[in-house]
Amino acid sequence: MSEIQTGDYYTRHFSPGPSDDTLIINMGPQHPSTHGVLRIIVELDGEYILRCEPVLGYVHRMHEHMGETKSYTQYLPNMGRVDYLHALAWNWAWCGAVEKLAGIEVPERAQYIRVLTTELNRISSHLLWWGAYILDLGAFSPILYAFQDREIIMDLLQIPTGSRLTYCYFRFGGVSADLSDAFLAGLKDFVPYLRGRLPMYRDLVTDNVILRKRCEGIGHFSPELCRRYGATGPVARGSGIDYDVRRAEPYSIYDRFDWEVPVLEAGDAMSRYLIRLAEIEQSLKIIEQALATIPSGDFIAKGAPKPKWAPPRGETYFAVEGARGKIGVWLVSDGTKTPYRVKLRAPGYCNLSLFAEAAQGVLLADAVSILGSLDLVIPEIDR
Amino acid sequence: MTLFKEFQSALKGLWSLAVGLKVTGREFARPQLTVHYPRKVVDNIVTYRGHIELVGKPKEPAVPKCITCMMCATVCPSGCISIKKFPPPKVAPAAEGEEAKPKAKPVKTPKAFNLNYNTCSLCGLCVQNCPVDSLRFSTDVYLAGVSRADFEYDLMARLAAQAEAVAKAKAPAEATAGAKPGEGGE
Amino acid sequence: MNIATCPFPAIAITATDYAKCGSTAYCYVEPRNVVRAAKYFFEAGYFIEDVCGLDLEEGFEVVYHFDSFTAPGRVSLRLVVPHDKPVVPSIAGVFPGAEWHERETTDFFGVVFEGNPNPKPLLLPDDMTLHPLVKEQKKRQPAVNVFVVHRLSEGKEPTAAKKKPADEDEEA
Repeated sequence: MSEIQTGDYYTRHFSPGPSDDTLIINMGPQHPSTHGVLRIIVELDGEYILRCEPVLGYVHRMHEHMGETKSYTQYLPNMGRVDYLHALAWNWAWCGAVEKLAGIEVPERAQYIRVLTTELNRISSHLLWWGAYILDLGAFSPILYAFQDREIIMDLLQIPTGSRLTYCYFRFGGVSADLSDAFLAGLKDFVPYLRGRLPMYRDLVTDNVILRKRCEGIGHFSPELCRRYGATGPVARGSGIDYDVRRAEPYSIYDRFDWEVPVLEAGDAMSRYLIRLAEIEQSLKIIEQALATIPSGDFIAKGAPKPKWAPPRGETYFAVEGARGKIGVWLVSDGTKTPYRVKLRAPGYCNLSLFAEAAQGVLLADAVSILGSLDLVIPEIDR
Repeated sequence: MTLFKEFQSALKGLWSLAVGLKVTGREFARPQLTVHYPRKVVDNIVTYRGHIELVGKPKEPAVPKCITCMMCATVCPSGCISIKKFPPPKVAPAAEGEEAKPKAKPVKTPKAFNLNYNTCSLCGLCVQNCPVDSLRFSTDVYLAGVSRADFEYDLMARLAAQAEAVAKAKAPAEATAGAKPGEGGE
Repeated sequence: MNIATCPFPAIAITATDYAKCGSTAYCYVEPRNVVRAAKYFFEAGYFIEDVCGLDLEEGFEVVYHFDSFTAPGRVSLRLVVPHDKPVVPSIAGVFPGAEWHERETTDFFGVVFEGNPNPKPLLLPDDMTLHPLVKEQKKRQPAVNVFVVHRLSEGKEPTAAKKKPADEDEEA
């Protein structure tokens, strides 16, 4: 990298393609359909994509290095900033990794609190994706309905967590605050409310002819493609891969609830859309059961680590199911107060990496639909 | 046959349009959900956890419970809390086995307690780890400023102002309470 | 999987306690054999989770995590390359998803993946020469200090393996 650099990014890295009359288009970094600062260099022949390449790093913050300079407790607020839409899953991934490494037991009630809040957060993440995806496809009003419902979730989650988006709620061995009766009562009302709203979503959007035409048969991902790129979450499940970390690598108490992993074989954008809507229903199902059986007790373990605590040396890998797929934390400890190495596996990163291959030969307008169906959160991809 | 299919798909499209309009119409008739900020504000900010503030002692509301153990400043991931201690007293410390003497108390309260809210990430670790519950969250959410200095708070001054406001609010209430029997007598 | 039946040349294979370290096996290979190992995992139906680097006193350790959609059980494939010549063959030809992970590792550690189809910075700026996760010499730890291999031995409950770190890493 020491040589003098000339030209722009394209001329340096994206050499001319097979024919001379192709058109290079920059999608992003400021493009409404990229949901943040993602840049995709697209080479077009007419309206068809010949090649494309995502350019990342516009919101890269080097979270992994921050992990090596902060103490275990101090790294907690970073987790809410990695993926701000499903912050609690990242909270859980970090706390779970540390708990696994140090062998910290989480009290029963705290497990239920974690399930309740994380599933609620998953619904809010899917609702935002739903609104934003339809917005990408050109319909404006659905996002307002989605935000109306999401607002209730944010109000609810604000009660225990105190914040509305970048939650820092989980602690090693539990959570930072107990659930209040107001939260539990609000959640009890919310479950039937959202169930009642879902048919409206179906009528307004899912059954709409225009949406069907923009999604059905668009962006077909084969299960093999998902495997080669390590795609997980709704992207893999929309391609017929029955894989959910909550089921495959059971953590916490998910095995106590009766719920299904929605899987569709079609592998197109529509199936990824339907998977996420089905996941909202499944999350409601889990919430309903957890609400009915939540025990009383401690919300944080009695011997929960103090701020200046250091875990034993060793390493561990802990994965949870986020709204976008498998969130993994690889943690290496040398027995000091700061981690030796923290690796964050972002599901969006792997899901986006298949885009270059999947978008070959599709229409530019369909690429927007495919990109939206991947449910990208750029801060999570860039970390 | 193709004509029939075209016709069918057009009808289907029209039907989904009608369904969509039905939903839109139904929602249109519902009362407005948003509030006209700043003329009106939402009512759920009581559960919001904003920047921290000091908690006063029950008997001396202008003096914080803080014992300057520096736990909050140490645990803060972004180092936004800075505390200044009073210089240690010149008298010899209490002998071992003895309880801390009450005269050590003024030394324990902080000389200055400053918060740089610019870098705070609202994680709540300071409040959670305070051994004497001297910190709490404020519900300040409607914040705006033109410079960074606007968000560097002197929490001691804030506590004093709060204590004064509480005292002021109490005083007229007591005054009116005292005046009432007089009014009744007239 | 053990060393005798391993279809690719491995230095050491340790069955580990999944409940403690999240992997069912650590599998050490020579850097030149990593593509053969990746091919084995590809044919065995695994998907790639991530490629991580780790800066140790012995050199850069590159860790590939593979997991399966059907039969859970993470396998971590590991290799060590020296600090002065950190070159590893790329497995992007086998798992195209590894391309980005390898580029990320190059960004963070300066480990070069030979044969990566697109070897340029991904997350860091083009003109950045610093590799942020490379540690200073005095902060580097030997592998013995960070790895506690939770061996899975026969007849012992996996969760009971909470004793002192008697088993050290072979690579050390």
